Amino acid sequence: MARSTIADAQVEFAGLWVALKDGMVVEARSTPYELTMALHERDITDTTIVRMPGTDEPELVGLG
Amino acid sequence: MAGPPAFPWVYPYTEERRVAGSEFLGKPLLRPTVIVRLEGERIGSHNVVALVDSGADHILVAPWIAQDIGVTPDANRSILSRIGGDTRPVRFADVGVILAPPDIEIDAGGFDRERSYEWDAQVGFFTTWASPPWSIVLGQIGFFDRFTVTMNRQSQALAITAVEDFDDRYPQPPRSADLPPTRRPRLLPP
Repeated sequence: MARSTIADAQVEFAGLWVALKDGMVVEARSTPYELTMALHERDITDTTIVRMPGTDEPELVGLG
Repeated sequence: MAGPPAFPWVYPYTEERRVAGSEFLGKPLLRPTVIVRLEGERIGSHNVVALVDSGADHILVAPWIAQDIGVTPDANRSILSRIGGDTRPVRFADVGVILAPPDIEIDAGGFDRERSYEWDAQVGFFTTWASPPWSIVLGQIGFFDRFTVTMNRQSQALAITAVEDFDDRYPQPPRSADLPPTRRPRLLPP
């Protein structure tokens, strides 16, 4: 099974919230609020939203 | 109506790029994730990548999603949670959870409710953590009590099957004839 990956987009969009659709990043912003507003203004729905961790951020090993 | 595909639903792990300087680890950073939407007064307008976290006791959600689905978390159902290195208030609300089948890939987008699996759950919304690393964390109550969730690093995948599947697979294996393992009484989701 091929694993899913955000690793490629992570290089360009590190630290940003991104919306993915049709195999590409269609919008990227600093906060989820800015992102959803930008998508709303462009009348884009049904993307997948995820935050791209920065490669200079500490590795998340647990949320607790 | 076709309805959701039959279980098992097998989701590949999601690969993240590792932090700089950690190449010595030699193995990829893989997260168990699925794609969900929540539904409150309205259904979420986008899919969200959710982290499947067996160590979390609840479904925990970022506040931007409460705004997106038109939910006001209940101030009378509030706890303090130690998470992300800080103590944060979490307020709960009853919402619909919609789980996309595994053929919906992260970068594809799209939504087909008829092929999704949905249920109601009491989920906790952060009130002061505007930008947590994961917008949705799927924990024990509301997710793990709905399914049998199997994760396997070797296979780099997680599988979701019917909740009874665990007992079918592991029907009270005795440690010895006179020392059977004790199991807690069955907790069924409401």
